Amino acid sequence: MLITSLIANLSIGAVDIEINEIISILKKSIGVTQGSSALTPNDVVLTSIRIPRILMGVIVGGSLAVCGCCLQALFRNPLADPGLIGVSAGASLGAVIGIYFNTFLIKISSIQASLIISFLAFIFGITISLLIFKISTKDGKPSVAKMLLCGIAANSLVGAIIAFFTYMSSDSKLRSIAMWGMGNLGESTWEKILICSLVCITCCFMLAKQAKLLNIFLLGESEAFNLGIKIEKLKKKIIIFTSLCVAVCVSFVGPIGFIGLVVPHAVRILIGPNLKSLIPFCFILGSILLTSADLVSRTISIPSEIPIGIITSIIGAPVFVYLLIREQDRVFQ
Amino acid sequence: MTYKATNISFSYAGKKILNKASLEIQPGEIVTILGPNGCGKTTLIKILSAETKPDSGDVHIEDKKINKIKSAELAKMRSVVSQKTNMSFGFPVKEVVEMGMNPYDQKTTKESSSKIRKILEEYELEKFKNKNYLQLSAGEQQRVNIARSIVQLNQADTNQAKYLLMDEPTSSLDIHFQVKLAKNLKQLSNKNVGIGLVLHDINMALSISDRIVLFSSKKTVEFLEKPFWEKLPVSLSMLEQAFKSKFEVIRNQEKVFVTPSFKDVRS
Repeated sequence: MLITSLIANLSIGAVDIEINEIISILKKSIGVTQGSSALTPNDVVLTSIRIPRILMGVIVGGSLAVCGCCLQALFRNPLADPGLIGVSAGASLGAVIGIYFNTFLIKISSIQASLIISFLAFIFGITISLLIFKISTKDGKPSVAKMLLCGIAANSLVGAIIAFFTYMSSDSKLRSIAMWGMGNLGESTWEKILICSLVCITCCFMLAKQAKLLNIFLLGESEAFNLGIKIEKLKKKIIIFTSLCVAVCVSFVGPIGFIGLVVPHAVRILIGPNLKSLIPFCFILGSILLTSADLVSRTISIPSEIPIGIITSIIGAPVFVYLLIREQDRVFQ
Repeated sequence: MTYKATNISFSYAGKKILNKASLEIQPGEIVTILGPNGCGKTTLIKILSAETKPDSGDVHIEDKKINKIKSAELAKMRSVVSQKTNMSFGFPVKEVVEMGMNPYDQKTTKESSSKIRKILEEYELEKFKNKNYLQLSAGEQQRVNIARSIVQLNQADTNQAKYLLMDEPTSSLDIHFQVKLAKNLKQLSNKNVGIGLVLHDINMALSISDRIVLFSSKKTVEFLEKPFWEKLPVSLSMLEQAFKSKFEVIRNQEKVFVTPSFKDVRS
């Protein structure tokens, strides 16, 4: 399914490219075959736009799903998602501040401005989640329930600050803020992909290493402690790696809802709650969902694009409700 | 060579739960804690297992302070059956039982699989082994928890001292499994496992215990020693004080049974 989705993403768009041509462009770009050195428009579309965009979709979709899956295990709640630990709200605030003060970023290219906005989003995302972590920690022990409540409070406070900036913004900035808030894979560049893949893949790998311990954590904190798990260390690891991963994702592509909530849920219903298999499957399904949503967002109203956040919510919400109704007895025992 | 809690005091929300309580479990000994609701039995089990830190007092296993023992090592020395579990997302029964192997960080071997199979058979869980834990009845879940704690002990080195702490392990079990558990606990104590139990069933306590520790609501701790049939009539007033109820003692040769007096109810 992932491969089909990737091929469809490479081939379909404002300009349709035949599969044979895709293969020859790919061969040419990695130097397997010699061709004319001049770049055709399709070369540029594929190597500078579609491939970075697809790779970003794979990394971000997979990472958000893995983080959602681990946070649901940490909070031991099927309704937890990356938004709960305040990292998405913090990143949104950083981005909004970046967009609002964009005119002060004197004479820099749009790519640099976009990187600065991403950097601000990352810093704010991490700061807010660390702040929540700090407030919820007493005597070195993070309280998961307190963290959940602090996350809700932070989301509300940050929402108000964003609303204030939105209210104060000019029409053009208002549009930029609104567009950023709906998520966009269109500004993916190779530099961003490099940073994003390094951080996210490392974090996902570290989270996957905790799968066995997280499984036992799901028995309950007392049971996990009695079975020799260092609970506080485990909680800290999960919070740090998910915050870092989500902050990077949100800072580069904006907040994308539902992937972190729906994907773990759907995969859990299909293969059960064991995180050893749940984490890799979440990565794959998250990637499929986000790249497919991106394909829809690019092609549904050519030549314009619908923001990907709208598509993930339109697909995600009904699927989520369907799964809840189908599995309510099993999930909410 | 003991599991020892000395002068444990613990308060919660301004209320004194334990006041200089002491308890000792020798290897191979079954010690039962009896007492009314809210007297601190569960708190003592949590302090013994190192899950809760006392305000004052110490817990030692084999002369080592419990908070100095690494959590993975501690999990090889003692296993715990809590009063209730709080599992989210239902795992299959077999996987829950296998989690007892966690402290040993080893791959499933023929030997460990056969131990797990035996435990599943022992507690008649074979037919549920692929069923979601959360879909089981309370009694079936309790059997799974007991099986998991025994797997945790069974994997340990036979030369190492081992202890089993159980907080009301029979609260949801039917008579058949209560008897099975009692037999199983005796077998474990014969293999030198020290067992600390919280029970509400006084007669089960009298049948299987080597010593009974009686907690009263006034935070005093009394000990009932063997032979119970000789000493119980003397200790009856302690029981009556602790539970604020009248008891009747029925003696049958060397056995003694205690039953709450339902005279007032009958009239």
